[in-house]
Amino acid sequence: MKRLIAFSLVSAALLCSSCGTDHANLPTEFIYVAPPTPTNLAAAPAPERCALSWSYPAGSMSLVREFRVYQCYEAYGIVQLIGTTADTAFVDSLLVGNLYYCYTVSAVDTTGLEGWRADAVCAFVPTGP
Amino acid sequence: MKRILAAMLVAAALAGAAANARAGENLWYSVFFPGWGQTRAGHYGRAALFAGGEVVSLVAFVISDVQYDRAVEQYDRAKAAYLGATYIGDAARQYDVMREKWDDAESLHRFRQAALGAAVGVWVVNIVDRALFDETRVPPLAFAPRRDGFTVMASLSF
Repeated sequence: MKRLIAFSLVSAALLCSSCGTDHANLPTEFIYVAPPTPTNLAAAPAPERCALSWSYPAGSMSLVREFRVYQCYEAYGIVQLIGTTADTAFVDSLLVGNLYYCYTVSAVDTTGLEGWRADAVCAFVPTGP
Repeated sequence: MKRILAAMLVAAALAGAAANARAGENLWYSVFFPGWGQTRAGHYGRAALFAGGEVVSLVAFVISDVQYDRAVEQYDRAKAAYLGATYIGDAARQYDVMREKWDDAESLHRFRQAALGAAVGVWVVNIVDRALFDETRVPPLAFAPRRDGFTVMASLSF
């Protein structure tokens, strides 16, 4: 009989030990504040190269560590980083001509957080002379 | 006929004495597992009710506990991905996933608590039942006289 009682007490203790919560610490607020998204992204194609430019609020430039320029393949949902710059312009060179290229750009703030990418812009890059 | 009546009285007296001796002991069997003491006392209907309720509650508790642990693991992964995000798009996506997993964990936690509460409730009611209604039901005996003696039949009641 003592064994039965002891077993009951141990079972009850085991049940109680597994009824706590392990998920209580939810960060309820969205803690990230993204830097502004570059606007007016434009591509100026030239033979085997493509010049990109965009606009960015002057007041936010001091908070930006760099801009990241991506080549994107929208049909596949792929973006590939091709370079970074601290300026609001970038030149992608040594391209294979006679093809379409699409680009997007984003700003990275001083904490390393990358903001939303701008709407992609595409351009037809001709072959060289 | 007198022998038959005497045998009936002796059988009933023996069964009653044995039942009274076990009455206190049955409470501890019910403490160990709901319905056990009731079974020993001959209350099979109540025993089935308590034992079935306890088993269903405990199974629900164990299943929800396993699912809760999985949900917490998924939540922890989503939280780590959210807090480690360096792109705002990834952070927003992982935040939604994390909230969803937290909701899953929360609902499973509530269900688990309800199942545990039900198990404890059944257990307590079972003990109260045994403590307050401690009488032991003696299975009714039936005697069927035969030409060469008699047949004793015990019937179970629920």
